[in-house]
Amino acid sequence: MYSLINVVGLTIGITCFVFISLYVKFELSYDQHHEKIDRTYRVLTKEEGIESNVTDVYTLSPVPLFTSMKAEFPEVEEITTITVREATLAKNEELFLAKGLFSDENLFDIFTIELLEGQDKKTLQNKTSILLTQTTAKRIFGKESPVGKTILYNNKDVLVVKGIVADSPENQHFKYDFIVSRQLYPNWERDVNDWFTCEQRGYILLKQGQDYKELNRKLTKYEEPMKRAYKNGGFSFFPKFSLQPVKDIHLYSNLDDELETNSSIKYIYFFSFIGIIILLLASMNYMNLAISRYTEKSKEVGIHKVLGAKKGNLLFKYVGESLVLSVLSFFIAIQLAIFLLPLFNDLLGKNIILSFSEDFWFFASMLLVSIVLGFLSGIYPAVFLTKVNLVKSLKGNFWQTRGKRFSLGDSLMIGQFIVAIGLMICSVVVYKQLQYFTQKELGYTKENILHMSYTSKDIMAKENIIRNELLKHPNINQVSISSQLPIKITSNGPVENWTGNYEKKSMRFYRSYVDYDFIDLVDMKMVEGRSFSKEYVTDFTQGYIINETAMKKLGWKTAVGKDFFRGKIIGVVKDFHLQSLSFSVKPLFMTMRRGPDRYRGQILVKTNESDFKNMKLFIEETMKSITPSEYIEVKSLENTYDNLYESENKLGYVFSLFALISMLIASMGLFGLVSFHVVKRTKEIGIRKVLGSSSLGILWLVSKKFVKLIFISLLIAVPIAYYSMNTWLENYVYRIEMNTSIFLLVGLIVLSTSLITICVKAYKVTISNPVDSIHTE
Amino acid sequence: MTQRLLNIHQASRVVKSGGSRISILNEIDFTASEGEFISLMGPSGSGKSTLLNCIGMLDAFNHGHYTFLDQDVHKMNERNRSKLYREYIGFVFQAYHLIDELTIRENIETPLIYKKVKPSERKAMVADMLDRFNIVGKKDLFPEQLSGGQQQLVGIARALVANPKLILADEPTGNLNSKQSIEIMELFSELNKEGVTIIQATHSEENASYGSRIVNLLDGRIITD
Repeated sequence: MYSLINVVGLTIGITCFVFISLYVKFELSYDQHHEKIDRTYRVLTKEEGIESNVTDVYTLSPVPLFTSMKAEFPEVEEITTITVREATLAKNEELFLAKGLFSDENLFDIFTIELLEGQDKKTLQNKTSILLTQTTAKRIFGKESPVGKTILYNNKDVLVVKGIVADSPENQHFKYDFIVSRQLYPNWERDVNDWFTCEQRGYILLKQGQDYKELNRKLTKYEEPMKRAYKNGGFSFFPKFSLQPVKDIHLYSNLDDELETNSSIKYIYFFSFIGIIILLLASMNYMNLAISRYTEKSKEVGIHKVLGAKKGNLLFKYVGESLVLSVLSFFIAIQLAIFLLPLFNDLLGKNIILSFSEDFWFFASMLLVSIVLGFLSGIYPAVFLTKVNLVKSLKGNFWQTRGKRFSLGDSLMIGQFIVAIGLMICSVVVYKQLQYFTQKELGYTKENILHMSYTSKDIMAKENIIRNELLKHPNINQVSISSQLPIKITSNGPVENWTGNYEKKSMRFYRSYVDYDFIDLVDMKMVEGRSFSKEYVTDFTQGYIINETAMKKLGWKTAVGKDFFRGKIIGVVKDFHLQSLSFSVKPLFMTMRRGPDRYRGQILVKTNESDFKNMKLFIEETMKSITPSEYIEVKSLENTYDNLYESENKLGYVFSLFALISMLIASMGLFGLVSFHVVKRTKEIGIRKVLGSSSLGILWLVSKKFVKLIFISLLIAVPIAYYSMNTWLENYVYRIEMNTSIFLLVGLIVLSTSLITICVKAYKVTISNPVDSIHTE
Repeated sequence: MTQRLLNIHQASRVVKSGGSRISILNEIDFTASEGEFISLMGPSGSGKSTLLNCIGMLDAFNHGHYTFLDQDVHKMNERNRSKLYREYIGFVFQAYHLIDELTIRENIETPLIYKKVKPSERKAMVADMLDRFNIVGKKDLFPEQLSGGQQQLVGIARALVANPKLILADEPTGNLNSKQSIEIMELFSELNKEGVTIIQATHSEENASYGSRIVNLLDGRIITD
């Protein structure tokens, strides 16, 4: 029984550690498979206001910069550009939405990309070729070999499949389903010589032995000409350029326009910390259980000693025992890890693979950790045991001395409970914050709205038909087409013209291009003026609606009628949360969609039908009949909103998982300690029963001390958890207040769990016959 | 005629040991009246301690009848049984069985706490006992700081504090030297004269001679009474 609990405890500990190590290893391995990674850098653009102090760092830079750098700096060996964008690929009538990597032939000189079939470099020199990843090839062509076959790209270009490349590795900061020439990128012709557009990411390969910081300093030579050119072009800001090591992107970079949401080294530290803590917990647990078990078996130790066992023999025996158990636990943990890996991947949204041949060193180091764990966990109880007085241990009552107030076991238990309680508080706080996200009044409605994104001029041309066809359904009330969803408006840029801006200051405005129905459809409230209306012809060409924050920032008391940007203000909308609740409400303007603003955007549909599944089907079919070549995916706005908080959701899962595990381990430790305690006091309990104590009295006698220990743990854990969760909550401009109910709830959970644990063990002794326990002579 | 305190009729205690059943007490017939000082004698394993424990309701007979103050003990539930012995019975053990974590005063006080005696009353009763046994000066010491004889004195004080009708003593002098033994036995005989009924289990003829009646046991049976 004890060995079982011990193995379970150690197994849980080691399994968690294996998972955390896998995660950390995966995160640290990002982009490391590129052979020249140590010489590869990404170009960053920092936008600075010419007079004001607006700064923003982008991963996008103007294309002419790359040409210029290659020509002017001999230390640059190679330079390429990367953009990733979704596009449709069609074979016959079948449509596939896929992620395309737009680059040039230098891509293969800088990054290690395995070619499985066909050619590579030459492919990216012309606009008529395409490289597919293995998975994409299978998806589109099934079993037939795709090389040499044609694909219709975005419904207009016929491309020839020139080769198959390996799938983009999970631990690479850019992912793709196919690779094509950057000349296919929309507006490439325009951008290629334009210093004013930043749409491409530049990656450079430095020659051996070159210091990128050196080159960084040399890049300042662009500052003055840029400043002049931008000023002449009517801009109040100008770009500065710098380099960033590509190997740092995943863990140290969180800039605008990253290719994927990067992780942070903070998470690595956090999880490593948790991993070590869980190992510690498992080890403490082992010690507690071992001591309590040895106590019960103290006679055995006495006999060994009488038979002439030396201290060394006994140490060897008991440390050996813990080593065997920990190695056994290691093997079970590995099996468990392999078994649970898919679940773990799901949880983190990763695709980590574990294979014996490739991860030999990983397994070896995990085994080493387990051995060290076993040794450390075994040595203390063993030393403790060998010190026990021989005669007393034979008599079985070597606990008859009044002990110190706190034993090591007690402190270990307090430690375990601090962790368990702390993690539990964290998970409750994360959970509450998540709940807050979904319940917060946003300033618009996200219920009963379906949406789909599109990226084609074809749809733009058929807007009215789409609108009319969709509205034919009796349960569709409104249809609106806008540039962005209200939940996450990212497009922004400087505005320099407004009434009262005598100093020609520049202000960053978020922007949304909408239609007549948008504001009404998402139920935004106007605080001044009116919404866009067909009755006023000028609304379409020069009407602007700003939000309250913008009005405040502009220093206006009223807004309607004032000059703004390229027109006039017609209304002020009540502030709504235009981004995730991590951010405060930013100044925003809305204006009508016209001309080229319209070639990509979102179609929003308001329905009063609760069965979204049917409604989605109807919309998809209607869209197909109007624009058969478009790839349409209908989503509910509520789901899309919830996805904003995916990382918080994951954090919540992880916290509650670890809280559960540490509570489990702590309970096991408690179980061990209670057993120890009960054994120690068996005689006393017997005497008390003889003297007339009730069973409840005995139960309290046994639990009292532990209840006290748990209270101490609570006292220590609560401030720590409070402080750290406060720090976390500060990431969110809109957040919950931590109140005592959270701590009470957690305290209650921990206390009741512990009391149950205590009762399970103490019950036996409570109902036992005192005659047995006092007959120790 | 003195009042009958307890009556045991045809009582047996059988335990399972491995596959076989061993009878520790066999068809015991035993009566005790108030004011008696009975010594149970017999060699190790004769069943003295078990009989004592059964009388004290710490253990139970498997068969037969046991009445204590005219109440059927074998028919009672545990709660009432423990209420009964808490009220009327005090125990004295060979190994004293004092609680190591508690002081002398607290040790003597414990049965009163379980009997739900009020704190003020408790204090007076404990002080009484300390006085009577002349151990006032030791009241704040812990058991391990006392000699064996003194510890047993405390054990007896604890057994007496709640004014029991019956004291059960299992080899009360087994761990003591002869001088201490004599002191304890004289104390018992004094208590008996004051009206406390005592049943002791003992090996020693000398100790047994303090009693008013000797019951001899062998292999779980009463051979002479």
